[in-house]
Amino acid sequence: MPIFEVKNIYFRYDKYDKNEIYTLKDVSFNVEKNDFIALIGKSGSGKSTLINHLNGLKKADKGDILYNGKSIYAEDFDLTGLRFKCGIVFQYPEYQLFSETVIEDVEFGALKKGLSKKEAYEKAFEILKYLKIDNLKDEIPFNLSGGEKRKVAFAGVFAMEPDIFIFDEPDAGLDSVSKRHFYEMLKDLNKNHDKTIICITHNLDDVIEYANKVIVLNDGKIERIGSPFSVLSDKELLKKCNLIAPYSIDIYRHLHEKGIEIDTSRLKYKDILDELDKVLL
Amino acid sequence: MIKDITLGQYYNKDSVIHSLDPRVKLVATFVFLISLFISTNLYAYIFATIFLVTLIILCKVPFAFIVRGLKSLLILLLISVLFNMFLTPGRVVFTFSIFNVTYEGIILATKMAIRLIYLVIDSSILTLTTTPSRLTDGLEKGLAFLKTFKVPVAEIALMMSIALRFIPILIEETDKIMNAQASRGADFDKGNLIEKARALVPLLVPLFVSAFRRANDLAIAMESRCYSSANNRTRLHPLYYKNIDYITYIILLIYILLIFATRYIKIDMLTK
Repeated sequence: MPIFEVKNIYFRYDKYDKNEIYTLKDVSFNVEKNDFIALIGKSGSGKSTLINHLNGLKKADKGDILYNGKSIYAEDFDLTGLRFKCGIVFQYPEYQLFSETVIEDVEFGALKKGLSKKEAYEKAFEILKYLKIDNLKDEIPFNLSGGEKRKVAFAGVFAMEPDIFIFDEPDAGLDSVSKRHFYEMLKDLNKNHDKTIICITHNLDDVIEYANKVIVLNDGKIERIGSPFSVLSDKELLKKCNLIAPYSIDIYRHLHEKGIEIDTSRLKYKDILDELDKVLL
Repeated sequence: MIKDITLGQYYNKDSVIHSLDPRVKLVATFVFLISLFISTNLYAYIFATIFLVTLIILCKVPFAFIVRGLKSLLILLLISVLFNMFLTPGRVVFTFSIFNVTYEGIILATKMAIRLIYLVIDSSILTLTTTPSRLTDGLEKGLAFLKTFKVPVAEIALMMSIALRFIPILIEETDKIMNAQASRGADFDKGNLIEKARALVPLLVPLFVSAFRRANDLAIAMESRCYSSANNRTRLHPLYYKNIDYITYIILLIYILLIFATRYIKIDMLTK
């Protein structure tokens, strides 16, 4: 059974204006356990709005969302419970930080989950250490740099130990080393800790590197759901959705035109280097 | 409730009211405000209602959206009605515990409630149909005569426009912070009133920080673009009165005269 079944949801911000265009139109997809989903699409296509539906922060005007087979809109559905299981890191981390010190902020979710103050502190500190930002524990979150704030926001969500992680453009504001470290961490969570990842990103090179499924959203509608290669090699689709193919696809195409075939299921950075070695050596 | 505040928000529509000169709209709001407070009898309130209903229809902003702003006023409204109803001396209609509800109290409470509701709707229509920049232009040009008395009109207009512009921004930010907290297990709907109020306290710190930061960013952005009100600024869209604006002034004059006239109508009707 899928973790999430999103069924034909419609959503518009202005409920008062009948002429208002729907931000989400007839959106349907499933999230399976251990999926690493990349949600892509041009700015304003409804990606952030869509992920806010998954833990009930926004309510669809029409359609339904099932979590483990149960409608999240049902009267007796435990929405707070879902929010502990499904952690969101928002696009703008400054909105996610609200406590007076970093450690207090990271503790927040753990405390709400019912951990004692001591347990929550220990959990928070352990996570800050894992993210290599334990030196910031007594800092005021609002004084941190953009990248540091983002890491603290991750820590706050990690402290809740959710099964599903949702990220809204997690790499914005991170330097290249932190970014690589972060994505490797997601890969580790996905592969070795059975966590499901849903990630909004504009960086299609990372999509091909890490995701197993890609959902393309265009003007509030699902344009395509498929494997990274099937989606990102479709020139027409990318053009329609205002996206540019990642370098790995360009390299694949370039080699393909020269009559050199490489395995399309292996288009990750390291795989491409291996394939190139095979061709060149 | 946070999202229900409509004051300060602009609602884009193609309507006669939207196209009016902001000075006319400012004067109209002021005239309507005066008319509400000089209204003494039912006839005046009927005229005010007709005026407001016409405004609502003409501005094309969905009615449900305009009255949404009243939800946040409910407690204030309730306090005002209860105080007026119970504490106005006069002919007793019925007694409730130790309080006497008087005929005069009921009339006064109704008047106060109508005034408050109409006032909020009217001022909401002003901001819903006028962009902050047009409002600033209107204020600046409308109050330009005060410059001769060394009143810093441009600065005052700018301050008012920024304050107005910040209302929807702060509402949106509050909403975002609430979402961030809700997504980490905070529940704003559970518990009694005190618990709900306590849950709102952690909202204030980030909200203030963000408001100060925004204000600072705005000041830096203005400085970096050499903002100064000292020189006479030119405008991309200067304000000129059109025929519809003159017609509106005439309508406003007729309206306020009618409201004044109702004071005498009342006496005539009563003496007859």
